[in-house]
Amino acid sequence: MPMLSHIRKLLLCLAACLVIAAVPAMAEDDDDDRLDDAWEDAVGDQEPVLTDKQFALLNNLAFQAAAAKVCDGFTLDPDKFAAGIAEATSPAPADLSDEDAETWKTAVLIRFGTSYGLLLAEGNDEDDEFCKNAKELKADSEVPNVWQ
Amino acid sequence: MLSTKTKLLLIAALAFVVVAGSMTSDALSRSSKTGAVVGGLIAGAAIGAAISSANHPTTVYVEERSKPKPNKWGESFSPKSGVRCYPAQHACYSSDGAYNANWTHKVYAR
Repeated sequence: MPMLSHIRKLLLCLAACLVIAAVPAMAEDDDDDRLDDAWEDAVGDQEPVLTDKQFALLNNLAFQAAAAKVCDGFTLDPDKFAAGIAEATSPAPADLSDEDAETWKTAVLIRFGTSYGLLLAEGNDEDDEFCKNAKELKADSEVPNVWQ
Repeated sequence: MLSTKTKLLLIAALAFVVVAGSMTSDALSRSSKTGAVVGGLIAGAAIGAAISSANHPTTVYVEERSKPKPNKWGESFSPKSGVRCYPAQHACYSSDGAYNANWTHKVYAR
């Protein structure tokens, strides 16, 4: 019996060591749901047609549009969404010719559509996490949203 | 191709091993282990010196290569534990989860 007791203790110690060793490894393996390569391939070589703030606003609009498709209980408000797009794309670059202005608008719309598509893919891949963050956005009074 | 000096060293080392191995006197057999060890060490040293000498480069040419460009799409930082932001995308994600609109706004859109 004492021998069995020693073996049991040894196994317990071994298990504890494995758990301790595994925790940092798990922490290092933490990864988000971002489709890194797809984002890089889709928009990595796009020219900076917007400012940092405008890009972020456009990302959030694309996220909210995707959440309205992926998550239950989220519907876009057309007026809020239109105002959001106007805010995200203003001001437009100055001194553009009519032709260049059209090209810029097209580039912005393509960027929005691309971001929307990628976020739809991420949301459908891991909808629990995606919709949890959508709920947190809706509950945050400091961050504007364009849902009803 | 090995140089003449290298070849001579190799031949000397091999000859030593053969001669040492063929000795059968009582004195040698009494101390055969010691003899074998010493013989092995000397032979090893001689062979090592020969190989080392043979491998000495005279001139080393290194092709100059451009440094790989940093992948800015992989760059990220953490404004808070549990949040990871990607400057190239102007977006933040929960570290182990989805796109995080709250932190994207707080970091990039204020």
